[in-house]
Amino acid sequence: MLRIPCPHCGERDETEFHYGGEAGVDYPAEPAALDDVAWAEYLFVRADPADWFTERWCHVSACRQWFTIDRHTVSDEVRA
Amino acid sequence: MTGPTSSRLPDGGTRVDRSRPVTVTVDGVELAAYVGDTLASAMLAGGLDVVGAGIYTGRPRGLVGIGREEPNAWVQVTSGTGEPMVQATTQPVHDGLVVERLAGRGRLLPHTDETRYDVLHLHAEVVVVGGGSAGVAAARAAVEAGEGRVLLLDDAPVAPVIDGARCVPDTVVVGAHAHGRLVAVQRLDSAEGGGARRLLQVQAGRVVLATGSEERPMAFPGNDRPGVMLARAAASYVERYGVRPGSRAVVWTAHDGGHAAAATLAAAGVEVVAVLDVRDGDVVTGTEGGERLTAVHTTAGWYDADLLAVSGAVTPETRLWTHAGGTTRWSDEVAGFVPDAPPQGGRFSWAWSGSTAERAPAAWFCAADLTDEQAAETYLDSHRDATLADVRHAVEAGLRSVEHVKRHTTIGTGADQGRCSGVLTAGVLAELLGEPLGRVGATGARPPLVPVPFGLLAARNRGVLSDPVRVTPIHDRVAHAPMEDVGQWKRPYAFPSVDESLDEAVVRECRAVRTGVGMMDASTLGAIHLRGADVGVLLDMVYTNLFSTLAVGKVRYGVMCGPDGMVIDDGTTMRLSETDWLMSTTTGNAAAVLDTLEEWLLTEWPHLDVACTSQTDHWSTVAIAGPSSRDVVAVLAPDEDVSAEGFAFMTHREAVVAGMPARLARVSFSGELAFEVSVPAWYGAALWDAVAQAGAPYGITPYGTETMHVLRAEKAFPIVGQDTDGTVTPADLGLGWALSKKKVDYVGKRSHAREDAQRPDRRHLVGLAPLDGASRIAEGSQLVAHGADLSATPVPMLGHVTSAYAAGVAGPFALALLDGGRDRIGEVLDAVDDLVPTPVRVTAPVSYDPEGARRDGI
Repeated sequence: MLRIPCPHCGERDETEFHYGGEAGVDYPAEPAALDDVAWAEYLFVRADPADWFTERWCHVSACRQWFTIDRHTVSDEVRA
Repeated sequence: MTGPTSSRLPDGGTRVDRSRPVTVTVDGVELAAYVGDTLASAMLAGGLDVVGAGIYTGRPRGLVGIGREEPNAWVQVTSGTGEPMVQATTQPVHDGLVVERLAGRGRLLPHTDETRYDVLHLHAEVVVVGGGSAGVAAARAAVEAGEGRVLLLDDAPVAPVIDGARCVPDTVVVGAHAHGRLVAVQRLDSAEGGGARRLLQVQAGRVVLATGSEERPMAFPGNDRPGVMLARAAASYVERYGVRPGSRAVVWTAHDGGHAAAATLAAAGVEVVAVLDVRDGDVVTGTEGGERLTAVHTTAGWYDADLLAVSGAVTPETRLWTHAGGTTRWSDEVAGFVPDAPPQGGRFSWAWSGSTAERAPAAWFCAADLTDEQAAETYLDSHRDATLADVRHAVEAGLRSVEHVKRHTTIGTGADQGRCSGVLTAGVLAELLGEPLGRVGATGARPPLVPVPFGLLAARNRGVLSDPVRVTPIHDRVAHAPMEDVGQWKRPYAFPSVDESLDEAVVRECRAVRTGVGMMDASTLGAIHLRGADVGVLLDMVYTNLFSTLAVGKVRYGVMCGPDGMVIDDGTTMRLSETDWLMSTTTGNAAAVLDTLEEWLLTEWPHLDVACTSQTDHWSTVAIAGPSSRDVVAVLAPDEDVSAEGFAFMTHREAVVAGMPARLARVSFSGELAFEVSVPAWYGAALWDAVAQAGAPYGITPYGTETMHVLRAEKAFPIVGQDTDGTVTPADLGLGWALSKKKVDYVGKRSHAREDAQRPDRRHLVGLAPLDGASRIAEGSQLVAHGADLSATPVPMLGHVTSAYAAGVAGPFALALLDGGRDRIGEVLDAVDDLVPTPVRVTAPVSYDPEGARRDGI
């Protein structure tokens, strides 16, 4: 059970959260300007490091806010 | 089988209460035991030599161990609530316990597990696992250091008493997880035989694993004969339960601990005829006997004996350590794997009272020079009936990794998790490969540490408590009808009269809506209130069509897609004021749509002035549908102009309905003239009664979800999640008209522009009618070419049936997703269900009133 540090509510059990995947994948400013490869990259391609990873979480069972944390995908260590 | 003769010593046994005798029954044989015994110690005391049989060989098997390492003594409990695959060495006895021995495999209970299960959450700064000397010392140290709450979890029936620490007995930690989370199973009333258990969810600041030792056997031909036991286990039966495991024993060991065990056995009156030590070059080479050992062959000669007590090593139990992410390393000092790098940044540590070896133990596993014949009766895992010959075959087949050998031979995959076989097999493999054991390594351990009933994991969340049940304020008025689960909601399926089948009721209800008037509780539709200056901007992005231009008082249908262009929801949204909008969603999708809207608003468009509020439970809604609905609404809301001109389709207004504040909308999910009346939730039952009363002169007919589905399917209104599956675009559904070309962007627009989204042979929503006009089409049927050979491999699949109904206006019909469907209308295909083909004709999706002539009534 991961303990996720919500910046608004404090540390809580993982079961209160939804996972949002890799952080920093912005919706493109002009989707129409992208070719199919670039658009597919936005839709589907995500980093999957065995290392520190900046990822999004949403505290759905409480404040419902989105935030990012750094988590080491091997040790599960978390840095707010 | 030897008859039950008591091996109970006249006194002794730290765990048994000799003042409390109980009787247990094993395969019809009654055995005398005491409270505190395990089923295994009771079997041993009763002289039951055979405790199980090989899963494949059927060979008789005897008791080997005393705890979780036991490979053979697995039973089916048939008394009380019953339980399959129970390990006799960890099952406490109680009066009336009845079990059957097994051959390595239990039987699922044919009934619901009625055992009482519960869950408890505990939090402590320090959690110590294990109540032995190392655990007690660690707990005392934590208390003295003032570390806060100290919790000790002990699997023994009586836990130590430590001032300042909470010590919980009868508790097995079954998993050590990330961030200091432990999951444990506590037996609550084992002596009384209730079998009740509690799941402990333990959040620890730090964890000390003081989980003690495990004993490892050595392998030799004929080592699975009843009477061959682990030496320390044999001695512990004397100490804990006052039971003598044999009368004439050979002890064979690779470390000093075996000699201590021999002394304990001798002190209990066992005639120890030989103590052999691998370090002196003595090796067991074979055994004799039938259902009990009679003789032992060794390099030092042969001995008459009914007990062969073997000990290869006593090493730390490291399973929880590896659950938590810790690594292990080979230690020559204990001839076993020991904890190495601590997991989770030092949150986990371990404590072990250690081995007291005076002479270095030998890492000895099995003689290397056994013949093939001998190897075939040298069992490395008696629980899985796997032998040295199996491992030799695996290596000959080219396998090198200990994990691959495990999967090839199934060694270590049994319910005992290979406690006796894991390191033994790794040692044998290392010898065969000529590699050091430290490099071969041990197989990984995964939670749970011991088998855990599913019912315990669910605890109280079973039956009606497994998921919340939601009902509308109107529920009492419709609860007599057969219910259908729609998400968490209970909705009436149809309202059959006493002499009517469900199908007949649906036909009657459909006819009422198509020719007169019907009423339905529509309160479960998701409702999301949107407020702010920028709601129109948000809706223009999340819906494929244009919303910002919607006038106050108007309603618009919208389709929602993900960025990949696939449909995720649809529904109508009404504009209540310049800044207030009310969105409706598919019943089962309300929470997901709210999540989606909030995610876009919070992560991509935080500059937009929009606030979302779920209002599903705020409103009770009754749909009034059918050509006579206008007359009924005129009675209910006499102040309103409900004429076709005065109350246009897709408009709404505030109104007083039967004296209640209400919102009236002209929307239709059936193609007929229809209204929806929404009132504050608590007026729901009153609204239902008022509509029924006002509609009575028009023969108003309550209808359920199945009728609603037939009516909407005849109009080809899709149900998201039923007619779509995450691979369907709006254009596939025939909703291409709802894709805005004017808007620069909406979520999904770029994906809709992909070549693949425009392919003419994509799966389109079409209608199906049975060729004979009468056969029912099964939902989920695969569509194949008419007359296709169903024995061919593969049969080309052209599509599948998404919705099917017994009785539309023209008999049975269905909706389907079909490759290039819009170009196949008129073709004949087979809808195949369970290999039975039903010939069907492909039709246009809309099978009723394709001109939309009935929308304003007739």
